[in-house]
Amino acid sequence: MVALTSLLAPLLLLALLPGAPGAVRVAGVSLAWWYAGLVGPVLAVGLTTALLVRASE
Amino acid sequence: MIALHGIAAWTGPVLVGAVATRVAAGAPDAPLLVLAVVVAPLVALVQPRVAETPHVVCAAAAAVSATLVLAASLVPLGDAALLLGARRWHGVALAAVLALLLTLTPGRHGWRLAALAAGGGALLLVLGVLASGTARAPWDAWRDAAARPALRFGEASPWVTEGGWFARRTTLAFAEGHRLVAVTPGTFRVVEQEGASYVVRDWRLAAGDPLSVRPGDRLTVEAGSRVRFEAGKRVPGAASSGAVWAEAGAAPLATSVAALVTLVLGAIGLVPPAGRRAMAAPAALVALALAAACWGVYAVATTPDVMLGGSIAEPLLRLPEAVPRARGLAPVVALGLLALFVAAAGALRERVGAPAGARGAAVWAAMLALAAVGSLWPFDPWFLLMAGLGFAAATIAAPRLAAGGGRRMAGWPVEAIGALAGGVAFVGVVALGPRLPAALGAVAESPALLAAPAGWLAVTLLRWTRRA
Repeated sequence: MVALTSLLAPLLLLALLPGAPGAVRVAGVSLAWWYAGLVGPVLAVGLTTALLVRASE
Repeated sequence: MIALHGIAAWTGPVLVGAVATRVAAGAPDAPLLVLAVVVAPLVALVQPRVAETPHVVCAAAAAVSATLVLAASLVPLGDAALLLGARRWHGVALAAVLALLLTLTPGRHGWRLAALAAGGGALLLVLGVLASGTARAPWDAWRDAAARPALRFGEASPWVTEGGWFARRTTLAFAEGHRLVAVTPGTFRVVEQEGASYVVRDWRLAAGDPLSVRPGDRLTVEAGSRVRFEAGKRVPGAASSGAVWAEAGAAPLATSVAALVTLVLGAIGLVPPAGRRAMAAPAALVALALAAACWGVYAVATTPDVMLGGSIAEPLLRLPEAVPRARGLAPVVALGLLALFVAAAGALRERVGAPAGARGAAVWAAMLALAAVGSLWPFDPWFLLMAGLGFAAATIAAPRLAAGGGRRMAGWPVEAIGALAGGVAFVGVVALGPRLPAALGAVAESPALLAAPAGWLAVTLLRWTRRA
């Protein structure tokens, strides 16, 4: 549960760091949106699946 | 309960609409909200199982939370009915009666999975048509939206042609001069800036009367008012350009943390832990949350005025009408939202109705009736949702996470005492809200920030007391 919740921390950090690194564009889309829309959800689903598989063994 | 049934409690119309609206509005917390909407229920799926039957206090707390969440999800369905030309109560009554009939039908439960699949499928199908109709992938649409020099009313926008409708009381800030026309009679309050001072003027307009506002003016419009704007003018309240929308900045840290605490703990309170090998549930959650976010992106790229009326159903229903190939699909979206509501009601009934035993049906019917009546008022559905999740966080999740382990105090399970402490703290913060100092603004906005630790602390202290 803690590991899953900690996936939210990078977005808070991107917002706190000076220079607004979350607004940096990568392939035309901001870093914050790449993380929120792709990297974060993929990591969250992968982690949840791993935890559920481990719990069922 | 299989995991897909459980997550249906989370994927109601209110969350889908709120995500789309926040993204379309370029809210500073939009990326965080999208990820939190995915992560929070996943945290709930991996929480430890609780074996014993909940105490009556915990069951009552779950009932209050579920009623608020149901009301929050009924508001956009009422708005959808209005946008499709019916009356608000038509949408609310249809959804409430359908949910009541299905949830009280004994025996078969397959409809819950079917409703979730139909609702999610309808939204994904229309999103696919939108992507095909605009010939843009979501990331291309994001780039296009971010490149818009200004977010302006289009020639074909209903806000320009027949006049748009304000779902709730709204204050609009104007960056340039506008000439509005009242479509229905109403009172409009304009706050004009005259140097360092402000002048307040109330205008009572008949249908067809114009109203001119200058740059810097603020206009307050009552719920239910209909107004026409000029084509080509900037959308008041929207970001000044696509670049500003894309780089919306950051919400204050305390506000972000408060929203995260409410969402994550609220999900733990209302979404049950997953059974074995529940792999479809995480994928379904991600698909729905990202579909809602993509909806908001397409809205900015095509019709940036869809969030002007303050209804979270508007981006979902208006966007298909603005894309030629998707025209006529608004009723499909409305049916999808209805199906998601029915699935959510089924999941919440399971969370609340089962512990209530033989009186479950009566309690459930009363909850649905209360939610339906409450949703007829022009409440902000996001406020209702956060209230429901916050109450669940303080009274269900926090005491459970303190792991009382079945211990009792004066015959009461310590979790029930924790739920009482969390509930009292929550109600206290809500009551004191307007009188709290500005430094505690995040607590006033998200009472769970204080109430959840109160519930957790009560159980932890009682556990230590029993050990000593």
